[in-house]
Amino acid sequence: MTKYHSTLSRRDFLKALGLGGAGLGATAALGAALPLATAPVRDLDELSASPSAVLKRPKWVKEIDKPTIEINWDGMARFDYHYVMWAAGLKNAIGPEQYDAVLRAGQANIQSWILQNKPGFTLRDYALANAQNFAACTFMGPKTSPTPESLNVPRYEGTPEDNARMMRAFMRLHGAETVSFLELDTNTTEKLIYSYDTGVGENQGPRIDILDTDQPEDNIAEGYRVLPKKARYVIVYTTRMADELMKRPLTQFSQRSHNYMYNLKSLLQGQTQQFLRTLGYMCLGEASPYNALGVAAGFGVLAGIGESSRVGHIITPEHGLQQRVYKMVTDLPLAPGKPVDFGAFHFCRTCKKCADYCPSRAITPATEPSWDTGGKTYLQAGVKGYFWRQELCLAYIRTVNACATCFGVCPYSKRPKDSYSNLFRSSVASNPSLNRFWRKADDFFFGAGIRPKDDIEKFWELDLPQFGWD
Amino acid sequence: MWFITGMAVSAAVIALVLILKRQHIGVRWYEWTLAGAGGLLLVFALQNYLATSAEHWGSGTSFTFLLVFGLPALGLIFLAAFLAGWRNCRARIPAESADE
Repeated sequence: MTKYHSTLSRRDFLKALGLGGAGLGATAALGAALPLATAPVRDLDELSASPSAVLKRPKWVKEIDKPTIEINWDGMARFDYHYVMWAAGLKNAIGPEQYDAVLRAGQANIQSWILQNKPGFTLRDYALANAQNFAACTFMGPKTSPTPESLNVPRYEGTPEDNARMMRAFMRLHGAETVSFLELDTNTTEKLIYSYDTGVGENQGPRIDILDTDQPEDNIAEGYRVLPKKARYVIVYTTRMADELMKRPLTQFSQRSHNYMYNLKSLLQGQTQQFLRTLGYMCLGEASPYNALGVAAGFGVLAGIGESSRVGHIITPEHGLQQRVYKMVTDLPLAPGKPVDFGAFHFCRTCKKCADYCPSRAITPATEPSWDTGGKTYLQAGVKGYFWRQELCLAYIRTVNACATCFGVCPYSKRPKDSYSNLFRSSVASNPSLNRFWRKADDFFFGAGIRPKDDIEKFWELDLPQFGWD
Repeated sequence: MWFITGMAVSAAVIALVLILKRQHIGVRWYEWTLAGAGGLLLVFALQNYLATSAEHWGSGTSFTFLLVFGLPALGLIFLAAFLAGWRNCRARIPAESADE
C-alpha cells in the first residue's frame, strides 16, 4: 500500500494551523512525530489492507456450502427471546416456587462458601466475578459520532469485499477475535432474528418488525423495534475468553470468563455503531450487554465462525468453545462468509466428554443429533442438533453460582500451543475414524482438562498476559 | 521458535553426517529412517513437554508426554545407532583379521 487518500498532508496541516513559514523550522520535528502518531492506520484503505483484516484459518478448515448441522428452514420460525432459559425459561420450566428456592439456595451457598474460604469462592474470587462495568448497549447505538450529512460529505463507498476487510480490521483493533458476515434472506437466515427481543429481567421484550422502511426504529413505549429490510448484512463476531479462567469451572473464575467478555462486547458494539454511523450506514445492535437480537450460534455457524457442538455453543478451530458470539445488522454491503467444516460437530458424536463431566447431567449423551425438541418451549425447532436440558443446567448454575464445566473439559479447549493439540485438530478434520482414539488420548494426557482443586487459587499468582489471552 | 529448533536440528544432522564420513561409518537408508523417526518423536515429546509446562498443565501431563513419546524416540535412535555400529564393527573385524 503506497497510496493513501483522505489524509491531511503535513503542509496542509501546518497551513491549517496558520503556522506557515514559522512552521518550517518545526517540520523536522513533526516529520519525526507524525509518522509515529499515525503509523498504525493512515486511512480506511490501509485499515482494510492490514493482515488482521483477512480471516485466516488453518489449512484443515474447509469452507462448505451447507453447515455441518442440518437445518430445516421450513420448519423454523422466528423465536421469542422471552422463552429462552436465560429470560423466563427457567421459571416456566420449574415453576415459580422451585425457582425461588433455587435462587435462595444459591444466595445461601455463596455466603457460606465465602465464609469458609472455599477455593474458587473466596471473597476476592467473588469480587472478581462481580467486577462488572457495562457500556450502554442499544439497538440504535450511541448516535453521537458525526455523520456524512453533518460533515457535508458523501458517505463511504466500497466493494463488499473491501468493506468486509475494513470491518474485520476495525473490530479486531477494538478487541474482537473472529469477525465474519452473513446476508439476511427472508426465507432462511432472517428466521434467526428474534420475533421478540430481549426484555428486562424475565419480561417479554419489544417485538422486532422487519419492514420495508428506510429508517430503523426503537419504540420501547409502544413495544416494538423496526429492522429495515435494506439492512441485510449481519456482522457476527466473537471475543475470546481467558484460558486460565475457563480451566477453573465451577468457581467464580469461570463466571468471570463470561462476564468480562460481555463487558468488552458492550464497548465494542457501541464503537462499531459509531464507526458505521460516520461512514453513513446504520448499525443495529443487541439491546443488552448479553444476548439479544438473534440466535448467536445460528448466525455464527452460517457465517463460518465455527461449527455447532453437543452443548449448542459454537466450536471454533482456534479456541474451541472458549469465546462469546455476538451480532449486529447493517446496510453496509459485506461479503458473506461461508460455513466451515473442521470435523468438530462430527467429533461431538463420538467424544461426549462434556456429557460425561456435566455435573447437572443436562447434556445429552445421545450419539446422533435429533430434530426432536421434546416439546421444550425454550428450544428453537428446525435444527438437527443435540438438545440439552437447559433447565437442569441453569438451575444448577443458579444453585452453585458457577459452572462452565463443558467449556473447560472440551478437547478443543486446549490451546493449540502444543503440537499435540494441533495434530489432534488436523486429524479430526481430515480423518474422523480416529475420533475415538483422540477422545481417549485427551483423557490419558489431560484427564478432565481442568485445573485440580489445589491449583484453583494459584490463579492469583499467575503472570497473565493482557485479558488472559496468550 | 520453530526456526531456531529447525536450525539446531539441521546443525546436529550436518555434524552427524560429517562425523560419520570422517570415521568412514556407512549408514543404510533404513537406519536413517529409524533415526529420523526417532528424532521427530523426540522433538514432538520435548515440544509438548515444554508447551504443557508453560500452560501449567502440571508435571503429570508434561512427563506423560515426555515418557509416551520420548522413550520410543530414544529407542528408535538407539536402535538405529546400534544397527549401524554393529554392522560396521562386523565389517571391520574380518578386514582387520585379513590384514593380520
